[in-house]
Amino acid sequence: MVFFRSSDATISIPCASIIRSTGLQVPVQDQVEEKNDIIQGCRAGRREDQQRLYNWLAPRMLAVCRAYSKDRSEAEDLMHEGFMSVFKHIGQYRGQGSFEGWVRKIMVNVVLARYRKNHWLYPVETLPETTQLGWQEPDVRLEAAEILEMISELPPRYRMVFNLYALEGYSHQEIAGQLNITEGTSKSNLSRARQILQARLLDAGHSYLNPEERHESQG
Amino acid sequence: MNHRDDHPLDVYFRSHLEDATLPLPGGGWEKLEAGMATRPRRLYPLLWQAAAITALVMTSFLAGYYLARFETSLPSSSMATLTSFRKDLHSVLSGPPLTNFTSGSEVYGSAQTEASAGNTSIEGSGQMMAVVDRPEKHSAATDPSMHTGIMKVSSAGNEATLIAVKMRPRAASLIVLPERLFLAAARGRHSAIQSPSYSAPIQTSQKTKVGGLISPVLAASGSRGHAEQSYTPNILAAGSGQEKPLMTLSSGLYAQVPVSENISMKTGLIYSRIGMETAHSSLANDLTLASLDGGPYAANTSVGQIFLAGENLVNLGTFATSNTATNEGNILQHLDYVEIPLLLNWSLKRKYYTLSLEAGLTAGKLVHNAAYFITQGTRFELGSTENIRAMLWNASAGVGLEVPLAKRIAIGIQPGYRFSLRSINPVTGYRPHMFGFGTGISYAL
Repeated sequence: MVFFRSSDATISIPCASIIRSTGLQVPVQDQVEEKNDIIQGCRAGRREDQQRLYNWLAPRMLAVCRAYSKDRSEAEDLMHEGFMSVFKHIGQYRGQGSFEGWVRKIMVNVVLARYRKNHWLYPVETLPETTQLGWQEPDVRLEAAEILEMISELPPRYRMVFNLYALEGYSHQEIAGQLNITEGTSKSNLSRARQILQARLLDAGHSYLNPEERHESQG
Repeated sequence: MNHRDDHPLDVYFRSHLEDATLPLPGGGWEKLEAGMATRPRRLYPLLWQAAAITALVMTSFLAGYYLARFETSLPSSSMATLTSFRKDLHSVLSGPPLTNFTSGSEVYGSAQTEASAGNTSIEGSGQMMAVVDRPEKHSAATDPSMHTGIMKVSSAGNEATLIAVKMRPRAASLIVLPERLFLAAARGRHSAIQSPSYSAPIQTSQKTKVGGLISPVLAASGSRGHAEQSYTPNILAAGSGQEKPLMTLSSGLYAQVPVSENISMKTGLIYSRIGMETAHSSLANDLTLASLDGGPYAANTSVGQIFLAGENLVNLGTFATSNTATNEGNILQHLDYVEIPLLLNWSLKRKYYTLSLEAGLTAGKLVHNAAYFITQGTRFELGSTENIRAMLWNASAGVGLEVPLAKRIAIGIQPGYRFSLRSINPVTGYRPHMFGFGTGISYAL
């Protein structure tokens, strides 16, 4: 992560990912200015800047949403709803911290809202918190899309708890508050999710992707 | 990342997904742009409701006010009950012709009244005296200048005092309004009186009433439940799941005891229901996947959590497993209360109707709590909603319109609004507010 200071805001941008996702091959300072232009344009409601923002961040955000979704279609829905929320509330971004992190936070909030609305039926588990899991890294290197597919096959609440804890850095207390469950349930859900994922990693010889998706993810 | 238990598996997934990207769908931006163009603007619900309530109350007051004004200013020709009185008054008025009035002239008259309207009639006689203060205005017989005087009319059991009598050439009438008001005026060749204001000691015409009512009720979510989360209609249309309040019926008996001419207290015993329906696209499917491992399972709604276990789980799971095409269904939550309202009622009685405003508190005891899953026309018991408080406290306000059917019987409608003073579920913070449209019959004792 590299931090830059521009005239009106300090934004932190993971340069490598910007260049990868946008194809920009321009000097770093120009990148910063361009991102600031995009943000300012979105604040002014300019549609062309909204499209540039979409092109810039959508590939990353689609991956974020995919981790929380049961399939690709739901992930796209979530991402679209998230971007609508971003465009609506972009005036609230004060230039404090990473803009991409701010957008990601909105995406996760949209996911949480959708989750609470969908009212999944979920098992009330009482696994002991102290369940110890062994860890064994898979022999094969997995693509990000394959890992996302693994996560998406978790039961919905396991998936939510695992993502919020392992990927977003939420505490169990925060997860309990967001999902309207107890901390104990959050811990047991996380433990169970890890068990399932570990088993699937060990079974990594099996492909979780169809050939087309694997090609896409490698492309 | 701000936490602590960095399990190697978490690190593995995090490191592999940190910069992960996925190829965008074709036409993704165009779809998003189209969605932004058609996305309906969402009004802030509480503001919207507050405006609706304010409008309802103000409309009621204005309607009452203008209806009252309308009656007092009603042309006498439209009041059939005045016909005989006008003749009586005309015959007994005495005094010089208007054109002969001079400043300070006193005009005396006597009136015999026999008029009625609504439930009130006045019979009696009285004296009228008017002092002419602007004679120059009377040069023309059509001049509408006013003069003042006092007239007293005594009637059986009541004495009515007419104050600030205004005289107007060629136009006067006496209108006796329901309950307590009368307005004297007459059409006469010689002089006339008309009263814009008056007072009269009266006997209350309100009686203790008992009645029954039935009311469809629509409960909406409160300000703190999950239902407040934003949700876009286009996604709802895809069937991902949606909460909506159920239209339910409340019914009961009440008694209304007058405490003054216009004010009465109302209480009763009402059976009411708060209902929530949650459309769910995959509840049964989830159960199939769960392989009936004995549970317990739970479903969350804004109202509260429903645990599903034992026989209920087996029944639904078996059905879901054997009906693989069935993954559409709705969760229903019913919360039934027996309520005792204590309401203050203000009413404005007229000949053909009574308008009322009422407001107060209602205490409700939870008597039934059930949750169901309905799929393919089959209803399964899920259990009950957890953490629902035993008592419900509501504040309510409403307007009413009652029309007499017979001497003691009246039929009425009563739209109203109630809101819960505290959440009915402390865990979810669900705090309903309800719109009702009561219809009922009352009997005056």
